[in-house]
Amino acid sequence: MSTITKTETPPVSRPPAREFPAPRYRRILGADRSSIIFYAVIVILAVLVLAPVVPTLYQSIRDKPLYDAGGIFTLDNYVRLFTEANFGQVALNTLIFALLTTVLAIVIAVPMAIVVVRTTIPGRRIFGAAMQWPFFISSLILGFGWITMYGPAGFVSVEVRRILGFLPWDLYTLAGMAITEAVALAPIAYVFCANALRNSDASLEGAAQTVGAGPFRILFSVIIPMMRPPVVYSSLLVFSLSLETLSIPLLYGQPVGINVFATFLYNNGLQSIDPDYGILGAASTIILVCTIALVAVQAKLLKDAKRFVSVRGKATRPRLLDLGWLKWVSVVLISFYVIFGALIPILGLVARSFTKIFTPLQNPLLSLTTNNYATILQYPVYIQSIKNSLIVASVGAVLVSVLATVAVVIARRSPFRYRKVIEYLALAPNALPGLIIGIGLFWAFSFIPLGGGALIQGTLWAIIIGFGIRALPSAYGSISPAAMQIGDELDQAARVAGADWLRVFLRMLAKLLTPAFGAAIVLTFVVMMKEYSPAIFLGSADTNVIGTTMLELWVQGNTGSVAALATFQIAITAIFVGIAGLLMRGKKDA
Amino acid sequence: MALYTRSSVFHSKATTGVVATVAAVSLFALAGCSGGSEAVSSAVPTNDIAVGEFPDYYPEDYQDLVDAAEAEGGELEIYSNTDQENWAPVFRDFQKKYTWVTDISANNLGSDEVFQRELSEQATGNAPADLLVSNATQAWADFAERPDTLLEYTSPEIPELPDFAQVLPNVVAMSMDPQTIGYNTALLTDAPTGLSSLADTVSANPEQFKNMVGVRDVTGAFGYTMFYYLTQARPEAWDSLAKLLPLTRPETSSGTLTEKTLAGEYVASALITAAPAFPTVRDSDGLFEIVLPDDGTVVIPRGIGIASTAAHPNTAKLFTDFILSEEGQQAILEGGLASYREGVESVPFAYSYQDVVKEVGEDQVILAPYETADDATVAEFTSKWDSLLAK
Repeated sequence: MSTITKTETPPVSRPPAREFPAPRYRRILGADRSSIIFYAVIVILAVLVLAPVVPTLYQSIRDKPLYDAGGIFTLDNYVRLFTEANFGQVALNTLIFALLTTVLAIVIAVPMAIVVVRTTIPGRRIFGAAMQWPFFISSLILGFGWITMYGPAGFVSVEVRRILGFLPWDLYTLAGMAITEAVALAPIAYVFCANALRNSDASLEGAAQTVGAGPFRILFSVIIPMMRPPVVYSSLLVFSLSLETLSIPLLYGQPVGINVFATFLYNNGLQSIDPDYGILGAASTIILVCTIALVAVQAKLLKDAKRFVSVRGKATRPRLLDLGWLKWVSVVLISFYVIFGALIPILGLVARSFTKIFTPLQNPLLSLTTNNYATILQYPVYIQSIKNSLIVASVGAVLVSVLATVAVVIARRSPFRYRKVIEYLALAPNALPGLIIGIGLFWAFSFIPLGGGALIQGTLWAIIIGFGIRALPSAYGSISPAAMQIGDELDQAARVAGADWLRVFLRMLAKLLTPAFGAAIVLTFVVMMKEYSPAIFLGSADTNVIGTTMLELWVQGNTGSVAALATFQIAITAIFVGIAGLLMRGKKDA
Repeated sequence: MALYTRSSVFHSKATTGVVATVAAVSLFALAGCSGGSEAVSSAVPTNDIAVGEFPDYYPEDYQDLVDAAEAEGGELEIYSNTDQENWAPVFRDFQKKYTWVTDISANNLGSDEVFQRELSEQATGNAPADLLVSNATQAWADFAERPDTLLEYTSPEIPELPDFAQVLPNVVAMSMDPQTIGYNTALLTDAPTGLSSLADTVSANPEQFKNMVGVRDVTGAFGYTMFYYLTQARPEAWDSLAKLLPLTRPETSSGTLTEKTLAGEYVASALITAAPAFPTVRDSDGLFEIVLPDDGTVVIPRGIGIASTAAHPNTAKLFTDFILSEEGQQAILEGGLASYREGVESVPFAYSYQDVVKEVGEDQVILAPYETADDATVAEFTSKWDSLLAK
């Protein structure tokens, strides 16, 4: 007898099988729509990157300004650069400045990274968070702050001079510039080293401990050697950034006549009544060659450096080393750096914005006033520059992030033949100093036929384009890792269902990338808010941004207004990042 | 370079704390500044503006010019090296006189940068400036020499002004800025009265005053102008400079000289334009003072001209006439620049040309002409200056 009852499967009435035809995508001019997007993006990127570069190269071998008719090809500009314009001295100054900055930045950042990430000092969280301050404060504002406090007429300096009878430091030297620039750039090196330390494999240290190594032995034999790649990479990065930086050398070097690359361009482009465009072009070309070479070396090193970071299958948590009494020394040194390097100058600048007279010769609290802010808010020129900054930063952030997202997805997730080129183009602006973008675009706009350039030059769009080019690599670099984290199989599943690349992007990848897109918008907003050097050449009197207005006011000696504008800029950045953070909290993953 | 991409920026408590503090500070600042400028002291005479009335020496058809200007839209764009504070009363009163003028923007550039920018903008065909204002004498002369840079216009006010008003064809002076010596009263108890008295005081004690005196840099055009014409008119100034220069440091603007003297980096500075220094004199409660040199005060005219590519030429002409009129000159003095028309009432914390003449005497006033400097003269002056500096 069978106890298994036979269940009769009832007949299932299925609807008749429908045919799902393959999706048909419209072809324009014989090309499918994805290809059109690919080629459009690569053309846009190529134009954006080459627009500043090509006119600069061309100008360097012409004897007359580009917009003058006639003019012959000549190499005379390069000769005159080194004989008349004394570019050799400028190059030497720049080299010394960049080397000093790099050494100081590494000396500050590497020990701090090791101590904060891998040892048991108290207050690690605060110090780690405190190293984020350059995110909010541009190096121009840092320079103002340092001069206000430590400059020859600075608050701290005057007090020290009264006590000691003399001032033991002089900010207006190459060394002074290097210290301030190192303070500004050390956090970049810190971030690289800290990341590397966090990702390193703890089992190597565990192995060292099993053969009896103490904390210092582990530190010197295992941890520090493993940091060689991030240290080398971040030194190169700091070196190339200080090669092209404008703010600190402009503020410190102008009064004493010390010129580096960027201030050479600044002086020869704006100060004389008849700027020598040939020399300007020649100098720009030489600077471009240096920066491009450095970026190429960086790219090569980054490829090699990735192999050092060891991510194993097993999850390990790096152990914190106890340094004993040395940890108190470290706390003191780090606090010293944070307080004297960043906190005092910035607080001093904010305080300056609330006083009429800021000198220890007279109690500053006696002259408290909101007049500096009243001045800023009263005159339309200053309100306009704040508005311009906000417009440029917000519109630019959206546009650049969109372009970067599309570029990332094409470069990483598409069958386009030239996707590597797109990646190089998107990262290429790393090698373009801000002033050269400004000068190059200024010439490019004068080239556009039928006076089309006059439509853009001097308007906010020129500034958005100039700042946007500068911000593109940051946006690209922040979306790229997020794109790489999304598994390939999602693309392939969509493909199997019949989607072409554009549909995969719009329906799936774009939605998954939205958090990264939001983060890129915030990052780009902050970057474009702090940027100002392209605007020096691209702006007209109506399109001042906060940075250029601050510079103008500083040169005229209106320190109070400068301090007020600087506080505004910090406030805007902080409020924006805070609001964005609140909105995005908990939405890290789509 | 993938910097600052970690979302820990958004989540860290320190960031939230920073945001809260900064937001509070900025709200306080915005709330605190109610209604802008400080109350004008009652000693400043009110400037009565006659709307729709013009002096009888104006041409009969002046109203046509006014109508043409009104048709341009009521906007004006000025490139100048003049502070917003100096301009404010002038704009206020111009807008009172012509109520349809809605938007005047004065962009504060460097004294040479005004022309450099205008030239490059005229060359590329996109030059929005209507008026150019600067007190850089050589740059003005060079600019005016170039063909087709300035609009031809002679104001009807010229006959009513002293003969130094028309500094160049189509360029007229809107103010006559005296150059002063500024000093820190806490550090220099022996108040200087002129260049020679300052030189005597500091050279009596060289170790104490080494690098403690600021001097305007003569490699810049403005600095060159003031000292060149001083030494041309007063050759004995070279003796004072010989004593003074070894103890000095050069600076490139009046504003910087003022700030550093106030802060104590310098005990005194020569020469500082009076107009940008006066606000500091007023605010510092006696810590910083300026004095007109009794052994020769250089007075540099501030020239204004209409650009040939002006978008609003008729409004620019109206503005030029206004600046030279009685009402306009009163407004200029109220703003802190040195008016020079007869009949303007004095204003505290501002020198008019008449005040300068009254204080130092007409024979001690040295007017700087608007002329270009040829390279040989510049080289000769600069080398003599540098040889004294180096000692």
